[in-house]
Formats: sequence, structure tokens, C-alpha cells
Amino acid sequence: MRSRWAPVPAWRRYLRAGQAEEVLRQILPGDPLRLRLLAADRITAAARLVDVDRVVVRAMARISHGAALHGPPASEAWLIEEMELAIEDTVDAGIVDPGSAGPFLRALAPGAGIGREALIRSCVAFNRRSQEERVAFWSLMLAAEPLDEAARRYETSPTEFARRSRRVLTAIMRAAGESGAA
Amino acid sequence: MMSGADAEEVEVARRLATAFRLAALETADVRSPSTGVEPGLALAALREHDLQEAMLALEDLLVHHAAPCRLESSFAVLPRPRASYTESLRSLLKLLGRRTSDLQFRLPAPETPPRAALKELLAVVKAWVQHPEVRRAQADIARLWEARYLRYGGASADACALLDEILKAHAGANDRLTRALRAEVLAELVSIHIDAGELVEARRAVARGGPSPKLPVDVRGNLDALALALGWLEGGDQFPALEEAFLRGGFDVPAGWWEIIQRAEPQEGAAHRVPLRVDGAEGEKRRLSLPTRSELGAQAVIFLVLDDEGRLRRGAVDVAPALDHSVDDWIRRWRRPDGEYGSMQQEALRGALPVIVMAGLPHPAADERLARSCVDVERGCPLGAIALPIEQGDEVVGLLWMEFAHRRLPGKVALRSLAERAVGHPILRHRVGASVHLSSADGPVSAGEQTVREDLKRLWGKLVEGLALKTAERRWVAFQRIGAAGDILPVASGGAGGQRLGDPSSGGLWAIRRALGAGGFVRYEGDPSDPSSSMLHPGAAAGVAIAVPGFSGAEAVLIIESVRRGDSRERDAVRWSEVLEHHAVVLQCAALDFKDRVDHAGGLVLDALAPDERARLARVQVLASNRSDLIIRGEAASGRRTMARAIHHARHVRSSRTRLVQLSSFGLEVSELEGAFSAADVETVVLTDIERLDVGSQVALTRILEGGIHDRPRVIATGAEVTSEASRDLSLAEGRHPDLFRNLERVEVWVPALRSVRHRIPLLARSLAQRWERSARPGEPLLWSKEADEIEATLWRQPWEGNAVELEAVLRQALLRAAGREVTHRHLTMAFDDVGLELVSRLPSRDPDVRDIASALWATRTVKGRMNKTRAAAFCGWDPNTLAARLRDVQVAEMEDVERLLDDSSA
Repeated sequence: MRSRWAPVPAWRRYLRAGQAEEVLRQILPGDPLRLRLLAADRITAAARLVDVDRVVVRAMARISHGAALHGPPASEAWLIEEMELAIEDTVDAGIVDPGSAGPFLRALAPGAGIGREALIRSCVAFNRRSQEERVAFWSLMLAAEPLDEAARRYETSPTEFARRSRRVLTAIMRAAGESGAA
Repeated sequence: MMSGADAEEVEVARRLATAFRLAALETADVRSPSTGVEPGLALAALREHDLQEAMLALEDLLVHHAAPCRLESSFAVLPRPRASYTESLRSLLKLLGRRTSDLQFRLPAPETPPRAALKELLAVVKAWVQHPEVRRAQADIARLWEARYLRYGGASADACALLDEILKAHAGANDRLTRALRAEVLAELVSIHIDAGELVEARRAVARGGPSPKLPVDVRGNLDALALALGWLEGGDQFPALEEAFLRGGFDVPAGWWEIIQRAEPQEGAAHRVPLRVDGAEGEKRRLSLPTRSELGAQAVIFLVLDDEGRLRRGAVDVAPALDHSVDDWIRRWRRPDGEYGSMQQEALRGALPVIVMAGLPHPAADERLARSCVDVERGCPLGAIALPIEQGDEVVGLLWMEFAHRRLPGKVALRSLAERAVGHPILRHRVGASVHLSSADGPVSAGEQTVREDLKRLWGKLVEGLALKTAERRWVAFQRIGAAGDILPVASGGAGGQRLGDPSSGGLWAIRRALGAGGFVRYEGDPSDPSSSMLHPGAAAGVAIAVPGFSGAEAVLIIESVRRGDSRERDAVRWSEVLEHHAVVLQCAALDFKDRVDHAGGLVLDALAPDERARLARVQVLASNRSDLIIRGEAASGRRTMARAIHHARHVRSSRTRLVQLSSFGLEVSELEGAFSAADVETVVLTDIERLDVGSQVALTRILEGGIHDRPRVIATGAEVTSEASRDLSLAEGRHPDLFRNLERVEVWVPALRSVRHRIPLLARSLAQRWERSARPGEPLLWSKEADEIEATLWRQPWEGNAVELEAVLRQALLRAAGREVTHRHLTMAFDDVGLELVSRLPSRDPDVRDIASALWATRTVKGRMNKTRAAAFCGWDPNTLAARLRDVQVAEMEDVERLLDDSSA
């Protein structure tokens, strides 16, 4: 997936403030590092279901901390790394404490006609699957890509690709049904 | 995708997919930048992140301090620090600066020892995890570190209990962080069991981790890597390459596994193999027991001792019952350690390095070597075996053979400990003091000792000169029994071939041991195909080891090695051996002189070729061969103490007692006397002028002597000459303890006065003068050479009523008169005046003492050993005709008659 993300020109100056709190105050208003866009890109690429705002907050904390300790980074790649770590931190926090899934997922539940808790459990179950399986599910079920095309893109057979997606579906169905709410 | 599902399930799936799709759309919706992030929320996230980072930085510091605390050969796995110590510390200090209210703790000072620093940091971490915002997983990481700390301190059981507690606390949790923590805790548990050799327990701990480990390429984390290592140790077929797996998992490769890699790859391992040398001085502290099978987890432990003939003989055996009947055959097979090339035993003995072989290693030769070397191959080859050479000094004196049914073999530390224990074993105790060293001095040597060494070196140089040795391609090294505990040390070397032959190495020590044990000579040649040289010099192709006989066994060994193959012909060896044997007594005297000069600043002056002196030396050796108390009688300053010390030096060391204590009886306190006898390391107490001992001390000494001779130092007393029974009775009447003297006088030795052995005077005078000059002036002393005959004749004919003391006094005066120049007869004459002695210019020619005539002829004999009557007459102060007449009177015609007379006089 081609990235649409790019921070504003001269983005490093926002990271030269000194203390982490000061850096945070620089990068918070107006999101000059375009972290919201970066989060969207990396979450989609990693095929994760997480509260994007929580990811952005964690990423900001990590970036402020890192910049205060080591100074502005040499390249944008560091920002991408920190964002990916923030995504994994958020996923882990969600697995440890499903209640921390955030208002975003809770708000979706009524619209989809599904219980909030069931949806959160399903999200956790989804996030626990392997990257390959999540990508397959995401491509077929969420992005509605044709099977042959998606399988070719990920260099696997359509049957295997479909099986991976099926395994994810089974897992999230089981998670949703654990409390009987549907 | 949902074939077979009912409508309700399809509906749930549809709704979930809808919710997920909405979530994905929301995630991707970036039309408006995220302005909804509240500053308070972001600050809280930053604070939480800071706390996590501080913990990680602390953990980095813990890793840096913990690494040196780990035991050698341990399978303990430690995470690799994310940054260098300095960087980790800098990060932490920056966090400290920002969060002073949260991070109140004191870091260990830089010079703190690792274990103390680890303890201090652990206290910091334990305090740190009490912070309300710290996650539970971090608190358990602190407990994991506590378990590591306990383990490194040797409290493995406590560590196991703590690790179990951590595991129980997380039972049922399955998130990524808990899984990682559980893997780390289990890995710690597994490694503790592997270190303890509890492979079954280790396997159980692995099983608690869930699915079994996969192939190395798929290894996840250190637990799986350890599980694969465990599989190999238990006898797995395939050698796993786990280094990458450990490193990929973010952990260091455990030291125990590195050792196995080194054993698997001998080339790599060679750099790490070091001799397990044991310092003889620590002998007293060692445990004397040998390791048992159960202690080592072995199926066979066999202790072989290299005997004096260089053969391996049975020491102690602890084998599985199934192997019991094969042990004797196996020992017979390896009796000659230099017999079979390529065996583990031979390599261990020759290389003086432990040889460790495991079955199933990548290189195929390992299995073959194991099969060739093991006790009973028909019953199945062991999975691992160790041939551990036992060394004293530089010499291998035994071999500890161990076979294992698994591959968890003892590591470096355990092997070192085994070697130390084996050296202290009673089987080897008789060898203490008989070790061979490759270098003579371990540290700086005093100027006095340097002189003594130089003298011995010169003596060997002269002896080797007498061998008519062609040295262009040869190098010779003389080893002599002059060490403090009777050790064999190199004393001299020479030969132009040295540069091509290289420095002496331990490879040829077996030849020295063989020559020492068997006597005679040993001819040997190097094997060009064998990388571990069996020669003393690595570049040598042929060699001869010649033993120089002593009173009991060999006194010294001369090694002659050559660059040329075949350069150790038997006829040459026979000739050299005969020449050295002829001079053996000279070397024995030199050894006694060396020890006395080095240890007691004394010196033993003996004309080793004089018949009476030979008899005296033989008597010294007889007296040294047992530990009975004795008394040496003679005139004052006639050499009684020197003889006592010679008896001490000539003994064959068989115990840890080595020290000699000299006590003067005059004014001796009972406590001093008892103190000397209570010291554990005193072998001989020399008690001078025993007649001067007061009654209390006599009683104390009598009580001491009544104890067993083997439990206390030996007493050598010196006393005045008792000439008749009457005087003895008189002595008793003067208040002497009858039991004491009866005990001591069971062995009584008489030392003649100097005037009775005049032929000793020239040699003794020169020695005393040299000693005095060396103490007064640096450099080689300039004594007398131009007027040597006249000076020696004058000294020879004096009566020396005061024996050596009087002689020394005159010589000192003469040397003072000469003031560093050569001593002349005029100086000597003045010296006699200074001391107040009257010069005797001639011996009475009427009815002379026959010993004096024999002595004069012996002292003046030619280099070829013939009589020089003119010179002898000058010594006596007679004209030659007078001497001729006296010779006829006493029927002396040949040198043999002189030798007989001297021999008779000594009796």
C-alpha cells in the first residue's frame, strides 16, 4: 500500500524544544507531523482494529519522549517506527484490558446492530490473529477486494487466502458469541 | 465462506463485518486532522511512557551489572541491553531530571563491585515498582530480577521458588506481554535445572511453556532455544545451531552453550582452552575426596596415576556396575600413555589440556575417537567423555577419565575444581614435591640466590663440556631436584641449536618423568604428523633424556634434543650416561649446597671426589632417608650444624612438612621449644649445643620426643665431643636428663675437626673467602691465584684449633688487608698476626699422622689424579726426600693407597 503520509516541511523544528512536555506542546496543535494520517496508513497496513485517536496519543508521547532524550531524528523513518510501536502498544493494552478499547469502537456497535462488549471481544480476537490472517480478512471482508486479485497481490493461492480469512471469521464469531450477545 | 452456517450465524457475521468495515473507514478518514486529542490525555500518555522507559533503562543497567555476576559455564540467559551502559545511564539521568518527584533513588557508584551494584539496583527497582502507575508486568520483572540475583549468589532453590510464584500469578493470562514474561521466567527456570544437571526437571519446565520448540529457523525466544539446547544435551541426534536463535530473541548466547560450541569446533575452541594448572601452595586447603559418579552425573569416573616409570596405573574407580568388569582391561590398554596416537588419553597427557569429546558433533572424527577411548564400546558408546590431566607444577601426574550418558558435561569451573581436588588426593600425595617445572623462578630472585644459581649453572656447563657434545644443532637443558619441596627445576641450558628448536614446552616432560622414574636414559623422536609435540623443544626431532643417579632414585635429568632426526644414537647416549653417572656425586653435593645457600645462607663444601667425603655424603643420605632423632657430635665450628642442615636438605619429601628451624640451646625458653614443635610445616628442628639446655627445656624436649616421630618434627641435636664413658658419667652427674640423651644418642654422628681432614681446607677456605667477598663487594671476588700454592699450603698446615671459625677469621683479615686486590702470602701472614695466631711453617716430620700425609697427597694431586710429591712435601713444609721416606714408612705408593687411607680415616 502506497503511503499518502508526509509531515510538513521543516518538521524537525517541532522536535527541538528540549523537554518532552515542551515537544508535546509543539506537536499537539494542528498535528504538524501529520500523525493522524500516518496512524491511518500504518493501522491499515498492519490490518489492526484499534482506536486511532489512542494510537495517535501514544505515538505523540513516544515521539516527545524520544526527541527529548536523543534530539530530533535524522529521518522520517523514525516517526514511522514510533508509530508502529504505538500501534502495537495500543493493541497490547486492548488485549490486557478490553475496557480500554475507547469510545470509538463502543460508538460503532449500535450502528452495526451488535453488542458493545461483543464487538470489543471480536476486535481483540481479530488483533490476536497473525498478520497474514488479518490482512486476508481485511482485504476480502473490509476492503471488499476480489479474491483472485488480493491473493495475487499477497503472492499466495486464492484458496489459502480464503482459508486465512475464514479462520479470522471463525475466531471473531466465537469471541462475539462467548457471552451470547449478538 | 460460511457454508453450513445457519442464518443466525450468517447474520452475526454480517453485522460484525459491517462494524469492522465502519471501524476501518473511520480509521482511514483523515479529512479533518486530529484536533480531538486533549492535552491532558497526551500528557498522561507521556507520563505513562516515561515510567515504562525508566523501567527499561533500569533493566538495561541491571543487565550490565548482572552479566559479570553470572557463573562461568552457566546456561543463564540474560537479555541484551538496548544500549551501552553510559547511554542507558544518561537516559535514566535525563528522566531523573524531569521526573524527580517520581524517580527518587540513588544509583550505585561506578566503582561498586558488580554483585553489590546489582543488589543496590535491585533495591531501586523494587522501590520503583511500588509506584501506583507502574504496571503489574513490570512488578513481576522486578521479581524476576530478584530471582536472578538469588541464583547468581548460589541460592538456586530460593530462585526457583520465586520463579514459580511469578508463574502462578500469571496463570491463565495469554496476552503478548505476559507470554513474553512467562517465556523469560521459564527460561530462567530451565537454565537453573540445566546448570544443576537436572535434565528431567529442565524438560518439565520446558513443557510448562506450551508447544514444543520448532526448528532453529522458527525458534521464538530464548525458551525455545534453551529447549533445543536441552534436547541436544539429553542426546538429541542433530546438533542445533542456536547462536542466531538466542541473539534474534534479544538474548546473549549462554556461556554454557558457548562452551559446547567450542567443544564442537576444536579450532575455535583451541583459543579458549587453558591448562587447568593447580598451584601447589594451595594443597592444604583442598578436599581430598575424588568426585563420584552421582556427583558428576557420569556413568564412569576413573582416576589414573602416572607412576614413576611413566605408566598409568589404577588410582580409584567409580563406574556403573555394567562397566565394572571392563575397567581392568581398559586400564591395561592405556598403561602406556604414549602408545596409541589419536586417543583422548594420549592427547590429554601430552598436551596437558583437558580433552572433551561429545558424540554426534558435526565433525565425524569425534564419534570415532570416543569409541576408541571409552571403557566398553560394546555396551554402547557414551555421549560424552572427558580426559582431564592432573598437573603438579608443569608436569602431568595423573588423569581423571569421565564418561557420560548425556552431553551435559562439567564446564570449565567444574573441571578446574575437579583437577584441584584430584591433586590433593592421597594417591597423589606421595608425588608432592616431585613435580617438574619448566621455569626455575616465579618472580624476582635475590642477588645471593642469583649467585647460587650461576654457580650451579657453571657446574653443569663444565659437566656438559665433559660430554664432548656437538651443539650446533642441539640444545641441552639440565633439570635438577633443587626445588623447595624437592621439585625438579631447570638449572642450566646451552647449545647453539636453541633458536631453531624453540622454547621448552610441556610436551617433553613425560621424558623427564620417565628418566627420573626408570633411571638410565630414554631415547625418543618426535612424530611429525602429531600436532602436539612430545619433545621438550617444539622444533626438535630427536632427543635423549639422561638420568643422573642420586642416593635414592635420580638426582637430575639432562635433556639433549636435536633438530636432526636420528640424532639420538644409542652409543652416544651410553657414553653421556656414563660420564654423568661418574659425576653424580658432584651434582648431589651441588644440590645440597644450593639448597643450603638459598634457604639458610649457608653452604655445604664437600670435595665430592674424596673418598672420606663420599662416605660422609652417603652417611648424610642414609640419615636423611629415615626420620629418627639424632645427635651430631664434634668440636665447635667443625660443621655440625651444616651437616644437620644437609641431612634435612637430602631427605625425600613425603609430607607437607618442609621447614627447618634452628634453635640455640643457650637460654632457650620452654615456650620457644614447644612453639617450634607445634608448627605444622616444620620438618626438622636443629638444636645446637644441647648440653646448654636448661633442665626445664630438657624435660619439655624429653616429653616431646616421647611422642611418635611421624607426628612431630624430627630433632637433630648438636653436642660437644664425648670421648669416654667417664666423661659421659660426669655429664650425667651435671644434671642432664638421662632419657633425653639416651633417646638422642641412639643415633650418634661424629664430625671430625678440621685438622683431621686437612684436604678440605683449600676448598673450604676458597668458599668462605668468596662468601665474605661477595657480601663486601659486588662482582666476582678476586681471591688468590698467583700465590695460590703457597697460600693454600700455609692454610693447610695450620692446626685450626677453632676450626672453621678460626679459618674464617684469618681469611677475613687477609681479605681486609688485600682491600679488594688479589690476596698474597704477605696479606695472609699479617692476618695471622691480626688474629693472634702463630703460623705453623711445617708439620712435625717425625712420626707424622698418616691422615695428614694422605690428606696432603690428595689435596695436591694433579688434574689427572696422580700424586705430586713435591707439592705435597711443600704443603707439609718438608723437603721431598722426607716425604718419600715417610711414604715408605706408611707403605703408600699409589693414589689408591691414599684413597684407602682417607676412606679408613672416615670410618
